[in-house]
Amino acid sequence: MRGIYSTESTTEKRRKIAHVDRISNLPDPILILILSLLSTKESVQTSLLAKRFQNLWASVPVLGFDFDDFLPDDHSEYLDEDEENLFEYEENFTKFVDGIFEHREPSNLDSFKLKWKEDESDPTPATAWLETVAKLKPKFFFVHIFTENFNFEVPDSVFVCESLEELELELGFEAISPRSVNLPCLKKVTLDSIEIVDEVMQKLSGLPALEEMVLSYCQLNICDISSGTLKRLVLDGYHNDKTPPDISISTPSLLYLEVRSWTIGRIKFKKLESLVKACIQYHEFDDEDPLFLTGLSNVTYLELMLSEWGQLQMKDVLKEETTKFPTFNNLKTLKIGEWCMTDEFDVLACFLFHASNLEKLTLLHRQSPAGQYKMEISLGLGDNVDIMEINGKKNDKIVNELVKRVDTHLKTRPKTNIISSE
Amino acid sequence: MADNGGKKITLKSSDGEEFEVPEVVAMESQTIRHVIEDVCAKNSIPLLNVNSKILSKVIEYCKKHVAAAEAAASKASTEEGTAAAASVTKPSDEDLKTWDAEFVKVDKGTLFNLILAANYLHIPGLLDLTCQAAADMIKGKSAKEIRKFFNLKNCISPEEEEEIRRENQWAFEEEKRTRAFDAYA
Repeated sequence: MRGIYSTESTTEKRRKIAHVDRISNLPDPILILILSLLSTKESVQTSLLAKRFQNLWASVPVLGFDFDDFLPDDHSEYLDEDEENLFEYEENFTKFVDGIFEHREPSNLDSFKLKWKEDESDPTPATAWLETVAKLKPKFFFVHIFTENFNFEVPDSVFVCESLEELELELGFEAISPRSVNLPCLKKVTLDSIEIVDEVMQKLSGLPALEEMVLSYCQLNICDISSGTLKRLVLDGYHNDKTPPDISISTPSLLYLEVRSWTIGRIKFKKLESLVKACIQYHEFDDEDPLFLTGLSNVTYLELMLSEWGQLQMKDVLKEETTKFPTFNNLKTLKIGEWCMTDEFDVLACFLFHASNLEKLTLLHRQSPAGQYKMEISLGLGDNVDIMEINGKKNDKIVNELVKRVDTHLKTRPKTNIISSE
Repeated sequence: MADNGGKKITLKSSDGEEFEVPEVVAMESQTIRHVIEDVCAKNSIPLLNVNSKILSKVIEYCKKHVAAAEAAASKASTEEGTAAAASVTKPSDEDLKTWDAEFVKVDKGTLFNLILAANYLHIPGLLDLTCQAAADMIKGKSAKEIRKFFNLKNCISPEEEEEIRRENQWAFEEEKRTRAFDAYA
């Protein structure tokens, strides 16, 4: 009997509910959690919202600074006016960051992120910031400083910050040369556009807890990457003036390997016995080592893409060296580009012959020039599978040829299902 | 997900409604897990701080995430699953992320009640998801817009605001220099 005797009408009640201040009811730790998901600049500005928020920002254990936020929306480095004002923007930025360090609660820090990308800018103030942060024992440290006209040196204290679990550095091709490296908790390191020499690489890859390493467009003056603990390794392009040096990879615990935009033959795969998945995308091919695949023969999942030039080279070599082709006993999933599809499909056949446990094969087929379309052909193979599904155009010459060819390599004759897809 | 054969438990909302769920789903809440494990297993657990509307949403979240975890675990025993486990982004994660994004498309009142419930029931994934949704509502808004959006009470007076701005010039100076004109609240 509640409704009839309520003192407010339903619409009044609804209006009241709609205008309730719910956010202020949240307890401090939750508000601080929400603020930690904003940039520090946004989080400080909540101090103006209401009394409740005045000092919450100071307890947030996350700091995130981006110089871009201190440039006007339509800033352009090519505008004269903006060049003059740059000094002012820099001043605002440095004053802000200094102010934060001064006024925040002196507790430790979970995560620190700094992005400063502006060619004409002088990032020297950042050195002091990084040193301050290293003392606050953060777990996550992301620093992207790209200022073409000024050099930036990462202070040594970053490399002996014992609390660090994840480190990400992006510079403007400067070198890192720490006097010593002591990062016992470091699990993941990402280095982007940085010059790395052997001595430093050895110190990093020898870290006791390291599980993941990502090297993006670095200038690599190293001869090997050896680590007993590394589980994931990503090599995404290199920045060396000429071809990269020969690098051998000895990572017996590695589960996942990704190599993109590289030259074949410049990487020797040694000791990859735990490797489960490999994604390789090469530019060109180096005649000296035709069968780089041997080091990868343990994998369960393989993805292999070549550039057009690399394709041509590879076809020729594999035709000659088919007897040396490694056996992929564990391979269940294979994804390859059309480079393997020579006129008689003999390269593809070579793969199928040497991977008797293969269950899924995907071929990425791109037909150039004008109508750049991608046709994905997916096959389900294996002794237990008696259906072969191909996603492709029904009357495509290549698809038909492929079906014929693949047939001869299977023990049982599968039922063929061609699924047309555009 | 197998509904039959698993042990079930009853959760009772603050407004008296009862929800029967598999125990494994209820245990997504660490609070409930402790009750089940430490206290003698009751058949019905009263949750005095969560009403039926919010509890049903919470249960929906827990069911979905338990199912996703079970699917991932069974896939891991296959070869592709092991390979997927080796790489960081698992394909099933994408679907779950999409589902999560839809899940938090609710009105503010519900969102904040979900935050409180996730906190009370100790469901870390749900707490992160809902707090991120709240943070996304704050991003990009001016102080005036935020106040309006959340119906903030106990706002500071213009004089007090002026004083804070003056005392902490380093934090706010930049606002006056942007080219875009942001009307003063």
